[in-house]
Amino acid sequence: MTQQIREARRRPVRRGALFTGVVLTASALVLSGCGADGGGGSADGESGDFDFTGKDVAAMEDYGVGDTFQATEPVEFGLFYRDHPNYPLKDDWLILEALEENQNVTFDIVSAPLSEWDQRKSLVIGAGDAPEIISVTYPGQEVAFVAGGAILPASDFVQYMPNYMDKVEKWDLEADLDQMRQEDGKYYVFPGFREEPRAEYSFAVRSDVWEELGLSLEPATFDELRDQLRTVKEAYPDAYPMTDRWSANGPLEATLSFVSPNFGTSAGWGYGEGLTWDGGEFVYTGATDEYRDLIEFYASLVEEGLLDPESVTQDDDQAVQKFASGSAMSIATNDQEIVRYRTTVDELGSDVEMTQIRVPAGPAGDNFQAGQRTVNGFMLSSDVAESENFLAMLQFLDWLYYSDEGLEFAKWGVEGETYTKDADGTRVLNENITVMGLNPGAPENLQADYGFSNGVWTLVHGSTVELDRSMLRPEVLDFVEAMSTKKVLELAPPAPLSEIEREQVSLYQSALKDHVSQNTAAFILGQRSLDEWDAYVSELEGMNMPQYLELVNAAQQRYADAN
Amino acid sequence: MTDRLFRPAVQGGIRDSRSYTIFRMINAGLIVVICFVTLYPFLNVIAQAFSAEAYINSGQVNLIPRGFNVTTFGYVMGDPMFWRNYGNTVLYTVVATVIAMILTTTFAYALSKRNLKGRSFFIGVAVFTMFFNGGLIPNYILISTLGFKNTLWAIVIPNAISVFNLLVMKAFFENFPEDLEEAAAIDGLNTYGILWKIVLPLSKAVIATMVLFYAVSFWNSWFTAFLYMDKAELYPVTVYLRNMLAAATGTEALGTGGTGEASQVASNVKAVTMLLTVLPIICLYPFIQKYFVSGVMLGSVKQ
Amino acid sequence: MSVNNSVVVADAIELRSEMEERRERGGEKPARPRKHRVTWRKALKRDWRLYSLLVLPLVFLLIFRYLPMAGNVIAFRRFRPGGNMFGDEWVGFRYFELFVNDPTFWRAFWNTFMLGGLSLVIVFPLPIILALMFNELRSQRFKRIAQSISYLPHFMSIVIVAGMVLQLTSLRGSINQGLEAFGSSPIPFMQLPQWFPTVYITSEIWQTVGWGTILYLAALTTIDPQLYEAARIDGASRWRQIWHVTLPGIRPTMVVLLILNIGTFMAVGFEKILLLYNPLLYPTADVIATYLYRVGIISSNFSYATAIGLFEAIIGLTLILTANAISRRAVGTSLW
Repeated sequence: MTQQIREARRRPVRRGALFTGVVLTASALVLSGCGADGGGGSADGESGDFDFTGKDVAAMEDYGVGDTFQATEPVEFGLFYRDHPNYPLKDDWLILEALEENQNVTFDIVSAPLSEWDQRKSLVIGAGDAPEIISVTYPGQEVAFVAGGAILPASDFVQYMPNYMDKVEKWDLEADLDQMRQEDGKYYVFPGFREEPRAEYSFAVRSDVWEELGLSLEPATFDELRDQLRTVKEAYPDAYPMTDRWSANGPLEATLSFVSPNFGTSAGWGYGEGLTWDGGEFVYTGATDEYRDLIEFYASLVEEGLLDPESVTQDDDQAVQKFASGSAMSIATNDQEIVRYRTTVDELGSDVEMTQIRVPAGPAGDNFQAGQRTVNGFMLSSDVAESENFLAMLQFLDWLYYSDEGLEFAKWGVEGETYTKDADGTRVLNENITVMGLNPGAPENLQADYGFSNGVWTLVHGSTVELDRSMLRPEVLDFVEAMSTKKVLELAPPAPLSEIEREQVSLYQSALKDHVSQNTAAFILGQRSLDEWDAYVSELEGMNMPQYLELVNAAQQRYADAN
Repeated sequence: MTDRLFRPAVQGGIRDSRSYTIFRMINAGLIVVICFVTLYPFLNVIAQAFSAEAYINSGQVNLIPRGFNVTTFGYVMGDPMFWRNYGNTVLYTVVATVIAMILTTTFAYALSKRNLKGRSFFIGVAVFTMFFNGGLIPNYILISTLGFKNTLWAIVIPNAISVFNLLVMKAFFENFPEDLEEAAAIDGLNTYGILWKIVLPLSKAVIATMVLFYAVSFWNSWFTAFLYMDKAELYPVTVYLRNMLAAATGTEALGTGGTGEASQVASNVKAVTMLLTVLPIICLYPFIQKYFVSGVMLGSVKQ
Repeated sequence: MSVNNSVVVADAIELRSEMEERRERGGEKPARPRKHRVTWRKALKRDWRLYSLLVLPLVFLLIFRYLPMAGNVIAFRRFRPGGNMFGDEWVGFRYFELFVNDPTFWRAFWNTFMLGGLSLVIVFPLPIILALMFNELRSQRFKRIAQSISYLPHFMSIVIVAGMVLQLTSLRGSINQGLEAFGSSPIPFMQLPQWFPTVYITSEIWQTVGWGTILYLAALTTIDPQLYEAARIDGASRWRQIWHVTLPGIRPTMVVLLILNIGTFMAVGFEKILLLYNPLLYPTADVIATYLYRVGIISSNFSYATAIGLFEAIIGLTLILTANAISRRAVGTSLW
């Protein structure tokens, strides 16, 4: 009793950072998609030119797109590093050596473990103790730190980063960047860019069962999928045609996030702030008809016994067990997890086979979530603006994270030492090195032994489509290509909130979201009949939904007027 | 053996009543059930730690390991950082427990003297801190300013006194027979002497308990370490293992976390990490147990 | 040590049985020194060694507990992460108003109260009973083994315990299998809010009862065996021995623990609930700590969290003061 009381005494504390990570990613993924904060101006020529006198020590005179960055004298940058147990930090990593040799850059590393990453980051910034470069930050995570002035306004300085600007223009990222703007019109995080969003999540189905029953592995619509599940149920009455996972913080979070765009709404991880732009104003996602359609579909699955009712609340381990042991015939997956499922059944020696299918189309079309192009990036602490190496730092970061050369370097390593290039440009990893399922069984690991493809120094898989796909298994490539025919939905207009507004709104959001999660699960399970939908909507209204919408719409109007 | 357990005992010429004998049988039976209920899940975890991934993922592991292997153990224990961190944990725990015991014991003893002026005030001072704390950021700034970050002191000092333990210890000292202390005082021992030579040796049970409580709590703590340590070499093993667990469970869910790090760690990492953390401390208990003998051996003091 | 043990011991026995009788008669306070005003100078002179023992701990408390408490001022000021540590501007009771007006907070408050209260009422007595049960075991070896086994759940990591609970309560898990064997239909325990308190309390019992006996077992060792001897000679059966010797012997420990637990009963375990709950269970499972966690993810508002923390702290302090006062009146023993 003693220990538990003592441990529990520590408040205010947000523990269990893995959950924090999940939900923060979720918020971030949709904050970039569904109108959050922002306001004012385009990305170029922001608040005038910055005076770099005294702050351009070691910077290159002539630095532009296509140039390799090399500091004119050795520099050291402070780095807040996320220590991932798959590749613990080593001082003799090739990446560090190469950066020192070729770019003249070394790092003063402050480490925090992955398990407490977000919390430690929040604490360190909150206490004013942040290192210069704060890595692994998702758009949306920086919002809390803006008002305190601890973070550098990125948008003021991107004009000095040629590769960044180049990609923004080439890939038309203006609208995505606008999503991140705060009330003062600036954005504060340097996001990672994705040329095109990459699909990762979908359903894994038992291809042997599907084939046995003559079912197509490419159901075109969700209705067709449901029919398929019915067939499976008839053939295997003792098993669930579908079970599900990733319901840690809410029902079917991962699944609903990739299913919902096809129903014209957003849900699960994609729910974010619960705002849907209907063309003229924001409405609350949880109260829309499209959301209802989504829930109705899932409720029908449970009612007909096609979806395991425990899916909305069960542990991931239980879900995987059901799928691996054959009590369920399909489950949600991503391209990494399906490997794990396969290893399990292979070791058990069964003939089970599985594939990751393309997400079918729904009543609202064949869609893919909006705004997946600004992702995991980094922040700079505001005191870097006083550093004498400021310009050098900007140039270096620009090269490493945004130039094609830097991106390739961070992901693949050094040509000749870790990989070779074919005549047609295909990269081939050295035989003695493995990474992400390539060259399985090789003695060395690109991440653990060399430090490349490291989440801290690489921005999301390499940003460009080409780099992103360069390390994928053929099966995944097929999936990605199949999914790329989906229509990417458009972003909602930005609606930046003031600090005071945000304080109030966060409470509304939290309460509303809780109610929506709770009722989503209840409706799906049939605990609550869909006839009560209207009652549910009035409950939401009683929870300050109109006030919330009012604030947000006013903010959007404010932004639109100012621009 | 059962004979001894179930036959009504005879103590000092008085036979146990029948009802008491039945009670004893039921008592023993219940305790066996309790042992089973508490042991079973633990055995399950041990089984999982030694089982192959496939069997765990398909839920086939119960009490016996299936597909016996020590891969995950090997993976974890083959990492020099793991041993480094383990050493850290041992160091932190020992130092922290020593400091905590010194502070708590002296504090508790002083407060147990009822005629100490200001006693209520001092107790109040301690109790108040049970409820009010400064929060993460002020503590962080304090430790930072004191220069404790990245040193042993950041871990062993901030939690040195547990008011809960303090109050329990104080209660024990309050019940310590005053007459023994008075007798010793007459003999010429001062306060320090009484504490050191009379009270402590005869309070072995409560001291052993407190050492156990503190040691276990410091051993399991990871929070202070992750707050104040910047380098992986300084983590205690609990942070190391938590990190590993987070990679195995969290990153799957994150999906796009970084570069899509695969859950390369096996499914039984939870079981393995738990066992590695817990075993040494469990082994500690039998050594403590022998101190749970009657503290004040009145009436059986051998001349 | 030249103290004559036998004399001391004889006196001590006499003194002790006197004290025992008094205690049995219903709790008078143990003999207090005559109440005459002692000035600080006199006290310091008389007890300076005792005070010297206090110095280090007090300094510790001052620096590491009281100094950071100044940071609580951010409950009344707007704190911006990265800005001034004591907050940037005064906002008075704004944050308090914010949570007072939030119905979700009050639901969480009520759940905290319920779960904490149930814990106190149900879980508190059990270690005592178990300790007494252990005490009645004749075979020392069995007793020791059983004790060690009973501590095991305390060491199981919460993540694993949560996983186990979820497994047990699943539709095809052991509990439902048992239910089906008896003919009733399976119950989705983790999807019905009314079952959560039961599940939570049961898992708390399982995890804490064994470990909780340690203090009582330590207390049991301080009971003078002579008292048992004396009672037996008087013809008391084992039952009466337990009632008249054992229980009163551990009463001080019980009282202290009870008061402490009353004071801290609102500190319901955060991590376990976080791992066990899901949105369907919010009506009974959402406690203040988990509520703060969810709100905190969206806003990272340290001031808000501190305001709630202060609120809880005041409640806790009041509770312990009350419990202490009642205890002093009713039983004679108290924390101070």
